[in-house]
Amino acid sequence: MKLKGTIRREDLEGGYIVLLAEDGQRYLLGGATKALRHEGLKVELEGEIDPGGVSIGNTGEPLFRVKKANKL
Amino acid sequence: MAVRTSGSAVPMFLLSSLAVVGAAAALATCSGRAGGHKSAGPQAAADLNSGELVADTIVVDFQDGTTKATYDELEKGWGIDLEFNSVEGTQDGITIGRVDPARREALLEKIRQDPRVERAEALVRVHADFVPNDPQFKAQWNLQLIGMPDAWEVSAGEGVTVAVIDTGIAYEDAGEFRTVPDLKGARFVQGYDFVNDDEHANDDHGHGTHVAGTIAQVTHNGEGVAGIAYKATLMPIKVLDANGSGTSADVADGIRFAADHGAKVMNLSLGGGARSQVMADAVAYARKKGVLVVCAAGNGGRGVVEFPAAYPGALAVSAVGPTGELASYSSWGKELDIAAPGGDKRLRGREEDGILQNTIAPGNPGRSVYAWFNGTSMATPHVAGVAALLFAAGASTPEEVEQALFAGADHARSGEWSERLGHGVLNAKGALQALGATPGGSGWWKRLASLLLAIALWLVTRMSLPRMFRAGFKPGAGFIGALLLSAMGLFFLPWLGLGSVPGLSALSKPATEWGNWLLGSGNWLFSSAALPILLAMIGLRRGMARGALAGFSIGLAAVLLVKAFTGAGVAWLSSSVLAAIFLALNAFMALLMARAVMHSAGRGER
Repeated sequence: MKLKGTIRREDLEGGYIVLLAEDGQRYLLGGATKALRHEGLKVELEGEIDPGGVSIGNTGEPLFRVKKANKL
Repeated sequence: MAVRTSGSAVPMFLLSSLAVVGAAAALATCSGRAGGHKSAGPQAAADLNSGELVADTIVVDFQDGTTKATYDELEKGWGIDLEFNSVEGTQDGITIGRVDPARREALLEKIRQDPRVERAEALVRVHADFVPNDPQFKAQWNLQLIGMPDAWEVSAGEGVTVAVIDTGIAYEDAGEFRTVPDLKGARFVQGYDFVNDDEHANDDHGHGTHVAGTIAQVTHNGEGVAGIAYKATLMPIKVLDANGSGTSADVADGIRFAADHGAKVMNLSLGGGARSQVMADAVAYARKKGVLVVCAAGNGGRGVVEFPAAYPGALAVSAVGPTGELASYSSWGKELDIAAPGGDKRLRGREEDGILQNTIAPGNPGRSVYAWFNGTSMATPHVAGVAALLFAAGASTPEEVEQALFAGADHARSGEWSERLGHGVLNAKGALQALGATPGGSGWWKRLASLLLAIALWLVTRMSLPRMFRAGFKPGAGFIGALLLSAMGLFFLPWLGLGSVPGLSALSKPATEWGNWLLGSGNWLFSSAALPILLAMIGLRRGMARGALAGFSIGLAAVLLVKAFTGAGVAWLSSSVLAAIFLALNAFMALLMARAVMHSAGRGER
């Protein structure tokens, strides 16, 4: 699946990133996120929601495992 | 079965009951003492050294409510610049100011003449008996909040293994990885990297190293900061990748690995996602093996405790900031157990309101940094660290540790549990006091109670056998040795440096704990009269061994009764009432066993 949205950096847990998707849903991000560290970055992400995923974010929000990322 | 229980059981039962009641009273006395830490203001003061005079500073205590304008006016005549000592100054009127040491006494005398001054004296610097020399210890408000300096007088977690199931730990120099300076010299055991499937659970993120630091940062080493259980042993388990995310399968594997390799406490500063039966089973497995599984409640800022914290058997931890109030980001809810400092940098916009530990720089596992993190992940290792202190101080089961944590928590005296703070805010000193641990005497009251009870039970049994001595039974060295062994264990092993050897360490505790490392805590075999009965069945009730068997049975009966009255759990019995009944019944059976052996000796059986 593909998601479009904006990267947000959270200050908790030493810092982690989330995607604020265009539909208003927030996603914790896992997988290929190395190039997605910048606050406010507009991106289109390709990947899957991992229902069994856990993270340091631990917010209860869905974890999206990024396979491919395109900056918009 | 060859065991005989001839003689009237009724008088013995009545006498046993009297002994049980007596023991219960003794235990209640001990418990009462342990529970009184909250009203221990004077006690807290007694824990401090007499202090040292600060020659160039005085403290002036004005009448309550004295304003700054009032004392500013007075200062002019005294030739000193006073300021409120803290924000409390507007209420309590306490001010401090610098003076020339040579004219200090004369000035104090002059100040004391003013009717608005209640007290004026030289400032005294007080400190706890043990204050680590780590230069940034002063910045660790979180350790002060949970009463750490005092708790270190009792325990530093020695001999307890804590598994950090996280992004790994910067614990070895290998390839691009480096041990962070403030973990050099820390104790580690072999862990595992479930992300890369190798034995090197190095940290490529920083989160796990920070968490590990809160638990067991090397302390009093003149470097960086302190850790709570700095003599504990860390087990690095990597289940989260360089992004800080992982899978439920890896977490479940990590939990089982840690439980199978000697961890007594595990820290899971992670979570989220859907309920996973695989992970829930892993938590239950660890708990059954006597491991305390401490988990972060979550950072959702809502009334839902995330998984794995919400699974049965997990201890869920919410986060408070420096004020002791729930942090805005912290999750809370019906599964919450306790709160601990997780930091709250958003509250006042201050980095220093986070938790300071040594970790690696983001994206550079070879570079060390001291960083202020905040989150429920930071609260969780505070609880894991204190749990290690409790295990080291004599607690033998996760249930016992939980009870001490809850009873010792701040606000716990009201007895009220809340969805936001659980049983209250973690207090290490309170938890150790609730356990009955004191400096140099951790957990000894239970052993002492077991021993006294064993002697009482022996006397009761002897009274019910008036012809015993005429018939030739004499309690010799075997009887006394076995009674001491089962009631108190080989308690001197830790003094010989053998307290952390798997298997051997179990023998340093009373007989009911001997099987924990193989069968898990509260296992039915060692929590029952099965062992002496099995020993009798294989023939140990005859010849030289029967005295030892009788002593062992009486000691075991005493320990089982102490466990019954202190609310110890039994595996597979979810109800504490059922567990107490089970333990008491088995104590009675062990006593009957002892009586039968002694009686057969009295009758001259061979």
